[in-house]
Amino acid sequence: MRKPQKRTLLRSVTLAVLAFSLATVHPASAQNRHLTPMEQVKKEINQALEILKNPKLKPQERTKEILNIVDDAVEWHEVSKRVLSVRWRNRTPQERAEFTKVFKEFVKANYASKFEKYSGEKISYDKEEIDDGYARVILRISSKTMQKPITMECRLIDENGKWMIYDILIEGVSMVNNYRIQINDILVNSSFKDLIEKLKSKQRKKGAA
Amino acid sequence: MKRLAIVLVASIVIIAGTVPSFSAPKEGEDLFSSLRPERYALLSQPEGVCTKNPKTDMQRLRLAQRWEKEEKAKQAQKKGKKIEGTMPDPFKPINRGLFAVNDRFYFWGLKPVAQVYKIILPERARLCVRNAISNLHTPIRFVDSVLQLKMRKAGIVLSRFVVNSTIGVAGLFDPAATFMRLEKQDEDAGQTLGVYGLKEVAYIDWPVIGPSCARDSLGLVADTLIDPLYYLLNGWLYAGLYALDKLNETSLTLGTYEDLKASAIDPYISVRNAYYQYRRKLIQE
Repeated sequence: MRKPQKRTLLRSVTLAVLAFSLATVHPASAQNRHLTPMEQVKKEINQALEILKNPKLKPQERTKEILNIVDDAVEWHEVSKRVLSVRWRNRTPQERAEFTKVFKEFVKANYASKFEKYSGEKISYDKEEIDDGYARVILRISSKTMQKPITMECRLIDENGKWMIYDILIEGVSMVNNYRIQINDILVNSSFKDLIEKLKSKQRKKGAA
Repeated sequence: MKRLAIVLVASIVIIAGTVPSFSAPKEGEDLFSSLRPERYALLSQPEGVCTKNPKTDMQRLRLAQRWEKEEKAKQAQKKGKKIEGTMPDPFKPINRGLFAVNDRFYFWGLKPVAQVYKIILPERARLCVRNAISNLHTPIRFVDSVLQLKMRKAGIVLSRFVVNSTIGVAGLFDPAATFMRLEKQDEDAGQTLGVYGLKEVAYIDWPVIGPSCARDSLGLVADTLIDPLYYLLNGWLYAGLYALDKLNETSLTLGTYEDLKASAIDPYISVRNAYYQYRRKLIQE
């Protein structure tokens, strides 16, 4: 006689707890819930993969939608700051804004076609590390033709509760660092104006191709 | 035999000269002064209070040193200082010329040949060629792992050789990676020299071989002399093996160089920096 009673009691308590937790977690706080860095990166990559696999979209539409995701995922201001490094301080706010815009368009034009090359490589999410407003997420990409998986590291910064990417390292090669050294070399030999022109002309070539 | 002995003696001398001397902290010196308060607290807690707590003094010291390095790097970053160095490039005009030559060599020579080769040999066969050549060069990776005192890596290299040479049919397949999760270990004498503190010295973009530096070029010579194949095959055959490897690798990675070049503002600097960063990472591992 006693046992079933106990069971129903337990069941109702569990149900109540479940209902309560669902009610509190789901609608109210879902929007401003802070995704962990890894969840954030995973979400963005999955969105991009879905677009790539969507047969209804034309190539141009696909590229556009993927670039929208990239646009939202990357903190372009941080990227530009790091790419210009010491030279960022000597620039006026207008120059900084201009550089940020031009550099963003340059990078986007460059990488638009790269996503189309995706051919079923496996992506596994290795680990994440958070430290004082900064985070890194480590992914491993593997495919048949690779002798060993490629390690990719995303560096993120906490921007008002959302983790935003500011650098990507592929096999230890940081893109921000790579562009910084190139830009430094250009600025040693020519002016800031030339740099902007160079970026713009490169981007136009890409856009046309 | 005489050549081998000379190389051995030379490498011992180099290594003995460059082994960093570990000095104990001086009395009164506060190793942890730059650490954040919560980290400082974690270090000075008595043993066993928290599970993440390092157990021995040695572990504490190592952890503290790592943290200190991290924080210094972060502070430098905040100040806007450059933390990463760059590849020294005293022969830049020559290297730029060589880069242009290599670029033409790739587009006019290597790439078209690799495209034909790709049509002749199916991908599976090319993967087997890659595995087999890599397996033949095992002694290089083994010796360099040992010289760097990376015994775990040396163990992996050795087990891979045993497994792949037998079950993997003379190295044509890579069952060690597929079934035993023993991945290929990239070790070479350039890295060994790097581990013992030798810097890049100067960037050299060798014709055909490609991006390298003084240290890694020295390493390449040392690796050739370590390689038993060099003594077993005649010189032309050995060079032929290198050429086959290069062609095979190019056929498997067609488009990578084009991508790198296309995304750069200045391809020469981009390639030089990518080489620098990649080698630094390999040396750290």
